[in-house]
Amino acid sequence: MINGNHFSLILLSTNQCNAACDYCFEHLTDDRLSLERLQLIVNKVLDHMDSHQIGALSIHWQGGEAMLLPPSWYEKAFALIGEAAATRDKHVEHGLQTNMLAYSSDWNDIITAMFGNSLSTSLDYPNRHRKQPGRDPQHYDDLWCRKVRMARDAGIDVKAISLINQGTLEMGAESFYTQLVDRLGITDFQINTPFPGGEANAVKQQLSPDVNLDVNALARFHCELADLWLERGYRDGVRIGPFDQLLDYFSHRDACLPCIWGPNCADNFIAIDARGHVAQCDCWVTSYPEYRFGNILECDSLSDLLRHSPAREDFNARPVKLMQGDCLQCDYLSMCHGGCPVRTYSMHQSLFEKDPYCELYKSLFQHMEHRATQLAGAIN
Amino acid sequence: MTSLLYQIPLAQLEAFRGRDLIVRSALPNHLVAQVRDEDFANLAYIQLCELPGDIDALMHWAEAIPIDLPMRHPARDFTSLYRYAKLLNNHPVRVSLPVEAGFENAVKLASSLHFQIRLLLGQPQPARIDALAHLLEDYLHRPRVTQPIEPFHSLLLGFCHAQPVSLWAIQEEDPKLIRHIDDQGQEHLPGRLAETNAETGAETDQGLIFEDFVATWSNRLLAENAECADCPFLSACQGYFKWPERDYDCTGVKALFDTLKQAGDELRQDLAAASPGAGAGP
Repeated sequence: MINGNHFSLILLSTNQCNAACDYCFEHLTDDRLSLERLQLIVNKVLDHMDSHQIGALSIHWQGGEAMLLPPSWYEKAFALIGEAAATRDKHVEHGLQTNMLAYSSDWNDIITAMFGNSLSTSLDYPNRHRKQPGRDPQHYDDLWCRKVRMARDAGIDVKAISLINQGTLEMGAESFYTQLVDRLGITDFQINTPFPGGEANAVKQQLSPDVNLDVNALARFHCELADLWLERGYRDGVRIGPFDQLLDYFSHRDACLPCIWGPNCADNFIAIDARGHVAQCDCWVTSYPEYRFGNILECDSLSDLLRHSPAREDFNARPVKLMQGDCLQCDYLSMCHGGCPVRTYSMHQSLFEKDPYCELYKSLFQHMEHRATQLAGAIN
Repeated sequence: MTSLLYQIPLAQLEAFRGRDLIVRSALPNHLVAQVRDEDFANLAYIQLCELPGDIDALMHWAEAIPIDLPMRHPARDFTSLYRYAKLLNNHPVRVSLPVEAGFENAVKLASSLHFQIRLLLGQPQPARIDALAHLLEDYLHRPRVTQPIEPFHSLLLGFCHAQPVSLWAIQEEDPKLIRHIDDQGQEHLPGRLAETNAETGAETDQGLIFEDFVATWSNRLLAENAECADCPFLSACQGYFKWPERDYDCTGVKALFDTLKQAGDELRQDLAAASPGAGAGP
């Protein structure tokens, strides 16, 4: 929360990447965050937290590819942030999102110290679009599997994000679940829907639900995967987002739904890239200059930057405008609020439409509500 | 004996300090500047009039003190609730709104954002009864409604625990419990009763002494053999829906009461069945 009790910051330590995935939404550059710049950014973030009496900070480290800066850099960054936070009596937690291609055992100590011996990576099955420059997706998969195995052997908890593609739908939920959980041993992962963010290309053209990905097929896949998870993994501690969060929600337990379903993401987090640009999240900060809130290195105050940003006003206005449409009539308004701005913008070139995956979400909500009711009945 | 609760404008705080208070203001910054820490113990809640634009000052001020947002024009203003949702991080926040055309959209959004809600029922017209019935269904059965909607919530609990409740008290309109103070410091009757322009403690043209208004009013309706005489919900309602127009037809609101009564009974049975030892044989 930016204005609540918790500040969530997505921080791109570098805009560089060692992969060249076809559907990447980022505009990659060679910029890397220096420790001097990091100090300036951290001081301004802490100033903002002071002025809003916010006590806790979560930093989600990403890139580009975050592991292109060496472990020694993160050791210094960790110390620098820890010292600055301690003088202001703030609590800081760190998370790491990485493709793991540059992982080696040199990372183990800092992953333990800074990231609680846990990290999040990403994979697709089948992998059609993730690759290194000049190499094919199979090379990426082989390298990724080797690195994940190494990390696991070192005792690191590896979570994953998986993007669904047409091949995933053709293969079906059973194959997908078997590959991720049974073969790769990933027991905590999240599935995301693709979107054609950033600069257009032929692959991204195929990602739009109105072009190639059939939303009904996608909905079927999600519901089947959710059922498989409930049958085979739920009771054994396997976690698949967003199914586990939805099950919690519909079972009246505390649930932390994914950011795409928040009332207003402008109230929840910001992203800062390696050049100091500030935007709504990592999906915007390098890709859409016209939607940047400003540059933290060029302003006196992050609070003023956020307060006076016309782009941020658009994000605040989005749910308000969507309530003039049919979202207000939806049974699931309380958990969606019109969905994800970047999925909307990348497909409609406007913020003021509802998420193009609306029908998928509704099907999934309905399915999970039904399954939660069934489970409650079985328990009672 | 419960002490009187005074609903005062911020400008009257000095004069009423030490009593049990609801403090209203359209200016959050002024509230923060003038309400002192020692006032919190007597503060039932603060009321933000006129839906203020900038509420940042309240975010970390007097955390856990409840806030009431009166929304006079729900059909027009309901989308502004997104602006106030961040207050929920540190305060219980209730939206109070009249049951008038378009109110259901405001209720839908308010409950979706997890605000508490108080429905200013008045004497709801037949066209609003259907919307209220639909809303009651949502309140009772939809998981998205996670916060109380008054007066449904207190009535349900009353029916469930078979405890006496008063709709006048739930709606903060019982003169025995609450008084409205105007900008000049003059005392008035709360809620709809203020429209009688009666001085507190005096008699109105209908001859009621407001210290005992609720009991006197319901007794009079009974004496007149009004619809209330054989109403099974009189003890909770006490003629609430017969004010000010005593010929108001209660058919619709009685159906709402009936739904709440049934739900309360079912809830009581469910709780009894789930309690330790339930179902154990002799």
